[in-house]
Amino acid sequence: MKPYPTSRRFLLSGLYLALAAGCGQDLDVGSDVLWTSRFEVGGNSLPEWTPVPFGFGSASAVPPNTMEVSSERFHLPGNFAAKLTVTGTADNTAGIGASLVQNGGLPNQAYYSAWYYLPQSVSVGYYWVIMKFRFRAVPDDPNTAGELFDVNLTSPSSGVMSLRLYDHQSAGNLPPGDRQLAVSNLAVAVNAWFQIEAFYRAASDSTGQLTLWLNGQQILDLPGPTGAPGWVAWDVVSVGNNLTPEPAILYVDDCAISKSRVGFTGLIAK
Amino acid sequence: MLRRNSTTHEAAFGYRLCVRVCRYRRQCVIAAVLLAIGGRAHAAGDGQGTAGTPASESNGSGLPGLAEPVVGASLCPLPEAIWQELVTLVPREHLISRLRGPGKAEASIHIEDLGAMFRISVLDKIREYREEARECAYRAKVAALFAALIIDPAALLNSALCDQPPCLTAPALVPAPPARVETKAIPALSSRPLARLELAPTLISGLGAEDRAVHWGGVLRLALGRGRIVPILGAAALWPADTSIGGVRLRQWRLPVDLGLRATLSGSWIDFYGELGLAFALLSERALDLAVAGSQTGMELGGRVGLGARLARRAGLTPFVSLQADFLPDPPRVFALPEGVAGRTPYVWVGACVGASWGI
Repeated sequence: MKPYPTSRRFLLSGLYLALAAGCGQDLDVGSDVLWTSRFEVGGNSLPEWTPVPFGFGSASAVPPNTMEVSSERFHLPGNFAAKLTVTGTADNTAGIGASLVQNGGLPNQAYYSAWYYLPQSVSVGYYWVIMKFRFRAVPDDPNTAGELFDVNLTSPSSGVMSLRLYDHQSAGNLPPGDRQLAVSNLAVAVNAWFQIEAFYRAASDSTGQLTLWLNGQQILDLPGPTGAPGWVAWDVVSVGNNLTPEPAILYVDDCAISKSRVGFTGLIAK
Repeated sequence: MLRRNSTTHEAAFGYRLCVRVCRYRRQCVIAAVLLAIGGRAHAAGDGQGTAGTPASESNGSGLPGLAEPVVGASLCPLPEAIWQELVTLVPREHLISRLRGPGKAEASIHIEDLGAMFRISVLDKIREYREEARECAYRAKVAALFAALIIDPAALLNSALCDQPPCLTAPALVPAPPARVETKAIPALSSRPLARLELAPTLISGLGAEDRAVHWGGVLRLALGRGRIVPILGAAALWPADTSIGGVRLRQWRLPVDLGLRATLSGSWIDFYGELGLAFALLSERALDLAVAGSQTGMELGGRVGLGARLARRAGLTPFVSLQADFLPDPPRVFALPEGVAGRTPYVWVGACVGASWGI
């Protein structure tokens, strides 16, 4: 068989290259993701949390509770997740837990997303907080800090897990307490990853807002005053009280703060 | 005897002789006579020129009492240009005697400009020529030659025999001028320009985008060759435009290039053409609203079809209008976090332009 002359090979190569280059390229135009933690680098030092881009951050666990990076469970893509183990001692309300905290300096409005995995159902005797928002009445004064919203896991019946939102600072004449979710009989999967995403806008007036999604489904939309603009704290935690069986294990992966919604199918890294 | 070095335009008329160069040559006259015969121009008329009528130099026409020897509302060729050519072929005396002979008091040479054609009538003999390039000087020469053949072919022949025209001759030596003249179309192929350069402002828009962007700019296209199907190469320079794909606001910039073939259907006044080819484009997308905004450039590859029309003028500038569409089977994807693939750039780009086409 007669080989192609060099010029024809060159021409064909150029044509193939053009066809390849002209077919279905991805044009990466940027990102709305402000910060992520995928627990893929740094091991237990949790560098994505401790040298924080948004003010002070921390990753800690109060003994005997532990927090470690584990490969037992992980949310794809990736090979690691954070494993938060808490001993929910009955009637102990003194902040027992493991916390990943982005503390202050966050945008006045942003989307906050985290993936969770429950390896087994847990009976929640009092509370089991897995996500928090805190505020300061005066952004520069740490003494004005306070609790704001807690996203809790609940166990409405045996073997069934669900969510509830606790509002520490009620708006108007409402007393502090649970806020009605938009979805009744909400079930959280056990032995499967689920995503909780929140949109939080800090405002002292009616423009404030908290919206929650579970696996992409909106479950709460709560407009109204939140915290004063200028200081926002977001915690991914496992703080429990009266959990059975204990210790209660919760895996956390792919945490992100973004300017637009990550959603159930979104990506936080390419 | 035909000259081998005749020009393209002259060849376009089928004469293949150079009027200006061989004005005083025998070959010129023989070829003209052959033309009259070969063009099925049948002889008629009396052919008896009245010699001896004195020529006058009193006015532009040189014909006292015949103020307008060549008339007609023609811009190409001008009547005056025909007359200037005619007097180099036929002695003025003969022109006077034939045009003002008994019973021909108001006889004139009529010229009509029909756009891609022109019509010359001399002493009731009419002939139409197609000359789409509108080379006015050449038209004047052809018209003058035809008129000379009708008015006094003998003088034309005699002019080749003498050293300097005008020379008087016996009109009976040559056949009488044709009585009936048929329209003879010039072969269109040879009259087409070798290359055609088109320049036009253009607008191009992508179909299917949420927020349709309209790109303004200019397009340059070259068609090369004289055939009915010729290769074309085009490129456009476009201003960036803002659009939105999958909720991601983008500033879009595009540099399209195309390569293909053009098939032309010539008409009397308008030429229509269709184009088919490959479309390439550099496409740059820059995010406008993302927290970390970036830009990236990719390439599009697909097919292109185009339709156009222009005034049927073979050389020089002529206006044209065209529509085109690029079809891209696999356009680039726009990727942004956290959305992932926000969507694709348009599968179809349509454009229109109105501009000038320059035949070279």
